[in-house]
Amino acid sequence: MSRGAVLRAVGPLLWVALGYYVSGRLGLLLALPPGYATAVWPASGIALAGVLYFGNRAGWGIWLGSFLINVWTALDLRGLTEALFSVLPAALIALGAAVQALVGAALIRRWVGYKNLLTQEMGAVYILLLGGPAACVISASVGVGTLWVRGLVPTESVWVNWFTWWIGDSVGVMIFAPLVLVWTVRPIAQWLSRQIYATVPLVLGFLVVVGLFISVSQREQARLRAEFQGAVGEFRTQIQQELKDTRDVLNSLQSLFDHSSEVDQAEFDGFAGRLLEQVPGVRALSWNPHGKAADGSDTAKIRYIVPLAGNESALGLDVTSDPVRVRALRRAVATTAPAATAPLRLVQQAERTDGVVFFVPIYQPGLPQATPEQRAQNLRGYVAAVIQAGDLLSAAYAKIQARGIQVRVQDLEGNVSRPLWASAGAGEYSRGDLLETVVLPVAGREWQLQLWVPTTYLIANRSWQTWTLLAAGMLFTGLFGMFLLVVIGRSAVIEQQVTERTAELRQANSMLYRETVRSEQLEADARRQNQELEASNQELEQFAYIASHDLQAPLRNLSAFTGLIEHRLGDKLDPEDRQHFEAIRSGSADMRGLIEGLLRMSRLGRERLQRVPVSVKQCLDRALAALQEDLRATGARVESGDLPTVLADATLLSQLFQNLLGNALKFQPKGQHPVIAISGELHQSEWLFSVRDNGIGVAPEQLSQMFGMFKRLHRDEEYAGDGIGLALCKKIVRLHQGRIWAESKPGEGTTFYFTLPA
Amino acid sequence: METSAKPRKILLVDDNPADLYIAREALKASGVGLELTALAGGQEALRVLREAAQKTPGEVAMLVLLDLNMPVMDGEATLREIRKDPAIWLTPVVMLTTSSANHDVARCYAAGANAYICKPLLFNGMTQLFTDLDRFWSSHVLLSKTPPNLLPRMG
Repeated sequence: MSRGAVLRAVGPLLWVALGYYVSGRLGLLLALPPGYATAVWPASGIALAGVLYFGNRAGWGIWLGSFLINVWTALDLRGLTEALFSVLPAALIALGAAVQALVGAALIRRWVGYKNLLTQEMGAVYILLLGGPAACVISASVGVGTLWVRGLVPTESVWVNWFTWWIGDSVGVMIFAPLVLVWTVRPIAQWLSRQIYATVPLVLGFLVVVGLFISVSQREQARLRAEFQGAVGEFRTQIQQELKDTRDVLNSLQSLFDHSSEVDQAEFDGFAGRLLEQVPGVRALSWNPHGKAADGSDTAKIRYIVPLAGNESALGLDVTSDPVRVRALRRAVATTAPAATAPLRLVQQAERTDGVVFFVPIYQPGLPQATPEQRAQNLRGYVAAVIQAGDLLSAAYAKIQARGIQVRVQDLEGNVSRPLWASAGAGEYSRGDLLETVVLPVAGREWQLQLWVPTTYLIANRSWQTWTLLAAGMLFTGLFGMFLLVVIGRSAVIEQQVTERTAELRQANSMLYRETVRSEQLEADARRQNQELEASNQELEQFAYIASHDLQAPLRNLSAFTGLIEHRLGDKLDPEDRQHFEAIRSGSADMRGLIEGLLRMSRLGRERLQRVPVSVKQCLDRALAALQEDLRATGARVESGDLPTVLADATLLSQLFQNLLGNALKFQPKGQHPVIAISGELHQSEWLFSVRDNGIGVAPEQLSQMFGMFKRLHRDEEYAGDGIGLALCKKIVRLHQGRIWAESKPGEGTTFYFTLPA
Repeated sequence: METSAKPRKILLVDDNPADLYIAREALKASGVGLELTALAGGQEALRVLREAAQKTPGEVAMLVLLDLNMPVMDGEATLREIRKDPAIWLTPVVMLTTSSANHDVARCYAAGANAYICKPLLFNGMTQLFTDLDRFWSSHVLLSKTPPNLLPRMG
């Protein structure tokens, strides 16, 4: 493998490791002290983007970066075992981080495709939700699990730790993965504006939240410290107050002895008893007169002690027999001020707590005490006050205990390894704890007060306000970024759609154009065909017209010449020949009738229908007027009901009635007066008219035939006719989009029905 | 003199020789003293009319009986030519034709026909027609002698 190939293979890995490490270290700055709880872990976003961009091998880089960060915070080099045990969790946590990024990237590749960040409306949402909250379960679980196993996270706060870890990683992904991806995955180079639109608000939002966080965090720290300092001061003041009370009691006793050369037992008991009632912290007061032992050494035996109950064993005790007390006695004489002993085990007390005895020297009244010699010469004895250090300190501690503060008090000159008093559960303070050390002078001795708040307490009882602020801010930034990406993606989608639609539209337009051209051609074809059809129809009608017209000329000639011959022959014709000539004339007349019928038929087709509102009654009247003579001749009776006004050609409608009535008049039994009834009524959506007669009727099988052209059902001898009438009727009704039919029984008359559109 | 002498001549224009023959026979049979000139086409009719007008300007010499359906120049065209020519435009023209179609009747009157008659089918009808024509045109009809430019244009 060449050096270049190695670099190409390892380079991305190192880039990712560096990116993870740097962003991780920067992320730690955002951790809420104490501890490492952070609301945003940018490194997780870098990791996801790294895997998406470089592929799965970036996982190694993530592992390396994460490992270095965790080792940095936890490495313990005190020994090989410690080193190993501090490295192992770091390796595991790093593994969790790497797996998380790999899984997140795999999810994204599987479901969305990470290149859709700027091009797909919901792409950003899916990418960030899969890579963020979904995948970030892994690192949080592995990391917190490891710390818990190692005992670095107490069981009760596992969930809190897990939650903060998960939020931190998720927000880190939601903010930083798009930031990196927007700039590394560039499907189209001209997308600078989109990249900037996506980046600037994200970065600005992030910085604003970080600034806000730093400010709030600092204020929170200052508040914590101030609270702690307040507690420390309170504690100290409380102790000082107790000590001052003790001193006051001793001063009172001192003044009792100063004013009286002889203080008897009753006097002492009464006075001291009253003092003790006022200052409950003082356990006992005693009078230890100065004396000389047999060997000449000084003694100070306890003569009076209040209260006596419980202190009987102390009576007669020579306080000079104890070197601890002697040191205080000497100091008391040397300074003339009250002197406290080092913590000591009281004779009379069974409790294991230490006591402290304060001695005040009493001198012979009126004698000089300016120099140590004079004071030694005139020493009369000591008054002593006994206090329980435990009582004093625990009383003071009780007031501040609630704030998680631990206290350890020790006499600096005394036994260092054993504290004077310590709060329950107070071990050693540790690094990172909030700590305050105060040295308090106590009647010539020094007590060291150590107060601290353990980190564990701070973590367990931290105010989540700051973290919530950070988390909410970051979440908002992340969601806002997501929203931006959605908007940008949407605009991209719309742009794309617009482009596509435009293309489609253009295509559709050209298709439409072609279609239009085609349909115009079709229309032109249809028009031409129509014209041709019309022309041929016209030709046909013209033909029928001319044919029938031309037929008339020879026919006329025939009859005219017959007439001429008859005229010429005059009287020379015998009656039989005259009958023959008559037959020719009558045949010619019939033929002329046929030809005229044909002409009428062809004219019907040729002339345009004039459809106007016409009164059917008027048309009927016109037909009756035309048939006046026939009506009179046959003595017919015509009845008609109410007849409507319809849209029709008045002339044709009259003709229709004329033909139908003519029919009814014609086909009658000999000698019968025709009775004809006409009605018209609205039937569904059309007018139904009927013309009923009392004529000879028609056989059912002939009903359908009789509307045919030149169809005649009777011989001329019975009923004359040209076979045109009903064909004309049918044509007229058809021209009006109606139907015509007849119902009949032979001998019972016929009813013709026809319809006209309403 | 405001009215002309009644035309004693009939100019029958028909392309059918049989019809001309029948007409001649019918006129003869009717006994009406009219002079009949039979012509086979419109152009001949126009020529004859114009010649007659040249000979006797201002005289309405003839009643024209004009068939409608004729080859070369049909009845309507002939009629329109007559009505366009100031020399002969006052000539009374009676259409005598086979068609009874409304549109034929209408177009002939529109072109300036004085009357429209369907050819009778029977020989007797034909003789009756000449009798009626003679009576009608000789006894009842007045014809104008006013110069044509003072009359409304027709057609």
